[in-house]
Amino acid sequence: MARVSASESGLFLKQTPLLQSTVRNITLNTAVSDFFAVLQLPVACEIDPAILERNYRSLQSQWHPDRFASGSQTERLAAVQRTSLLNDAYTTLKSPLLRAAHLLQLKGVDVTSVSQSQLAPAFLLKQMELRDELEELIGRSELTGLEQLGKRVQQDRQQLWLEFTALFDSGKLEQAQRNYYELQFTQRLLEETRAAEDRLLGY
Amino acid sequence: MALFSIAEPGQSKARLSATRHKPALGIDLGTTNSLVAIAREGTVELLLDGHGSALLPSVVHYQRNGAVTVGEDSGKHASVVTTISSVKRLMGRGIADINYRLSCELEASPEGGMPLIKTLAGSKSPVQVSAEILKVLADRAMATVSGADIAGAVITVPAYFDEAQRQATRDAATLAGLKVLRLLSEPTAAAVAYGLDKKLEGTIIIYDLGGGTFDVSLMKLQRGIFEVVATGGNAALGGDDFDRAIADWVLQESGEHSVAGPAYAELLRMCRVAKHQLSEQESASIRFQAWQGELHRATYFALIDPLIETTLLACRRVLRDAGLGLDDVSDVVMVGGATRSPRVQEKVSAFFGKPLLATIDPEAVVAMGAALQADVLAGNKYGEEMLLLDVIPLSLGIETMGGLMEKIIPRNTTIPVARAQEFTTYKDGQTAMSLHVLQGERELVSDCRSLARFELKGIPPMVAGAARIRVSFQVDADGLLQVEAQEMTTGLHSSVVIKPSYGLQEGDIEKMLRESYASAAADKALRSLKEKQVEAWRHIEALESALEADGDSLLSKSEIEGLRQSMTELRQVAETTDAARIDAMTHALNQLSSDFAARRMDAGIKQALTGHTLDEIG
Repeated sequence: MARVSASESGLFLKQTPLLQSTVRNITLNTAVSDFFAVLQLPVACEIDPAILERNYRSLQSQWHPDRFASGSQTERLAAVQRTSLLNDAYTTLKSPLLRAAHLLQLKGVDVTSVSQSQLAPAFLLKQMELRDELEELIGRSELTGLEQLGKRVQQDRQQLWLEFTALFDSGKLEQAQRNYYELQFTQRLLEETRAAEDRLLGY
Repeated sequence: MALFSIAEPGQSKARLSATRHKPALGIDLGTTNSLVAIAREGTVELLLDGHGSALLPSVVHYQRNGAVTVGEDSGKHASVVTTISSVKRLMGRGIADINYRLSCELEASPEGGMPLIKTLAGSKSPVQVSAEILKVLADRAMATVSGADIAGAVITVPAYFDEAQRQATRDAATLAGLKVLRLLSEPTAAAVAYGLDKKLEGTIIIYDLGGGTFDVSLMKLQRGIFEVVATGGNAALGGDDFDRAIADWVLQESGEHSVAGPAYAELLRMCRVAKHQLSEQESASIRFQAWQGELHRATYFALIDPLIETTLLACRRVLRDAGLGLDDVSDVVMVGGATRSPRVQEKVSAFFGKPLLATIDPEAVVAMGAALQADVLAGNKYGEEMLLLDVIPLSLGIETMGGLMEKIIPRNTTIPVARAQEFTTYKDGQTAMSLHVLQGERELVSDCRSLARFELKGIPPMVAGAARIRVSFQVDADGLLQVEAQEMTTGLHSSVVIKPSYGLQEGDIEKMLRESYASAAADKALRSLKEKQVEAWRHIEALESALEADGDSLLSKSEIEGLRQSMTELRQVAETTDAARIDAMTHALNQLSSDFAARRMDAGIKQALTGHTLDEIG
């Protein structure tokens, strides 16, 4: 059995979040699959969405279990596994945020846990201000205000993504990792802004 | 190529049996009407009854002598025959879920799950009643080909059907002696028909308003690959609600409020007639008992517009889920009998800002699309030209501490899909873990649909948080879910194939989705409270076991007493809903015990240095 470190054995020492909840999302293979290879694309920050979609569709045409409707049990099982991986790869590469996490993982950078100390104080301050603004807009039920906030956060996200691309491409992985966390924060804020819009619209 | 033709019974028997392709069936098992189509060599034929009608009313009649008939209302008195309609609404539902007035009497099933319907021929389950409808449709097919030649059937279900409702539908088909090749969402089936027959390509909205359900799907159709991007809807909204809205107006105008039973059914029938008249005329006259009145279009529109608005909200949401705007939609396809309403067409067309597509009969298109997909799954050559990529309509997940739903596969994920997530134990020495598989969008388990429970037993005792339990979800191309749990340090293993027994309440799926937005804030507060409670208990547990192990050797009596006092207080506070106090007390206990923890660690390091592993210290 694995040795338990001292800090883990004194569990009550740590201010850990709800431990029995999610630890991390993992793919079924223990090793990280290279989703770029799965979709026959070069490993890169920017990908052509048209080529991504074309490759995905063409691979689906070959691998989908429905292609083996009259095949053997083994063939169909293999088809299910391959298309599951393909779907995962497609979902990951389609989203810049998930793609960023995957790029870092491929470089051996752990992206599963983040502490606030890793983030720049200026960034955190700005996030707090934006969150206050969001709460205020929700309180005043201001739909147009929410839409505008959403647009601004989207621009921030785009800017962060460009920064991530530059950092990753020049091999500054530690900074790229921090940038990824900032992207995550921004994405969450964007989602909350949209959820607030939805509530106002009566979804 | 004209894919669709209409076949008279018996007409094409010789032709069909001569082919080496196995014919396959597409069945639209509807709330109000059902249809069957047969596919062979890429051609789909809608099968008609002896009177030349494709629509089979989904109405089943039971007589005392056990005779069963399916179709039009016999008009016979309830003492001679029990008539069951809209049985689709009972599929996969528990008796507690049925909170609306029915034309028949229900009783709880002795095995739990779906209730039974009392008939003159004894009690029948909704699955049995649905099977009667399917048998009649299968017989239509067997009038054209021999039963042994049929490869199987694709049966359509609303996109919003949950796992229990889907399973009940499968069971009905099995009972009717049909081999189910797949269950297919109704809007997806319609898209297949348009894609193959009309060569439709692009980003398509399928707006499917039936008698009792509304579904909307956004699909990408390109070179034979049909990809469902997002799907949504309302499981309890349909054209029948238009009739009810008119009926409510009549009751209000006439001052008659206590109308029920056969009188209300008669009123609904008249309202339906008026609804159809208003498609052509500016006004319709309605006579109900002593009252007579004129319903003008303007009034009618005011009655039904709110209902249509609800469907448009669902459309907006599907677009958002797909990350697309109105401009990205290339075509809007209309499906379902209720889309014949000019007001619905007008509103939907205005919303999307484009003309609507209804070139295939909206009532027949679902069965036809299902038959085309059945042809593919039967392994017929024609199928190589097309591929369907479907999604799961509702998120799948697992219960975690504090009654929270942890989503493992979010809704609108393309299938097949496999996802895994790691969990750990909550208590020191915990040797078993109970897994509760859920479906729904809300954060609290009590608001989601329970699919299955199973246990992982025999986990070796470890400190809380040391075990690594990997829970894997696999959904295959048929939408069937398999859940597996594995303890990673030992390889211990347990799994279950999900076969749920009963379903959500009417409208629950739509309600659950809507509430997941409306109550996100409330959920969050509750989630935060639950997390704080769990956190408090975890501290108490950890401290308890630490005290047991090393309390006497490392602490003085008064120190132990102080800690115990603080633990008792936290225990009491953790039972309350005062999140702030729970948080404060947890923090206080943590402060108080930090010195003890440090001493334990020092002792642990000393022991480790003398050759003991820390495992032994726990």
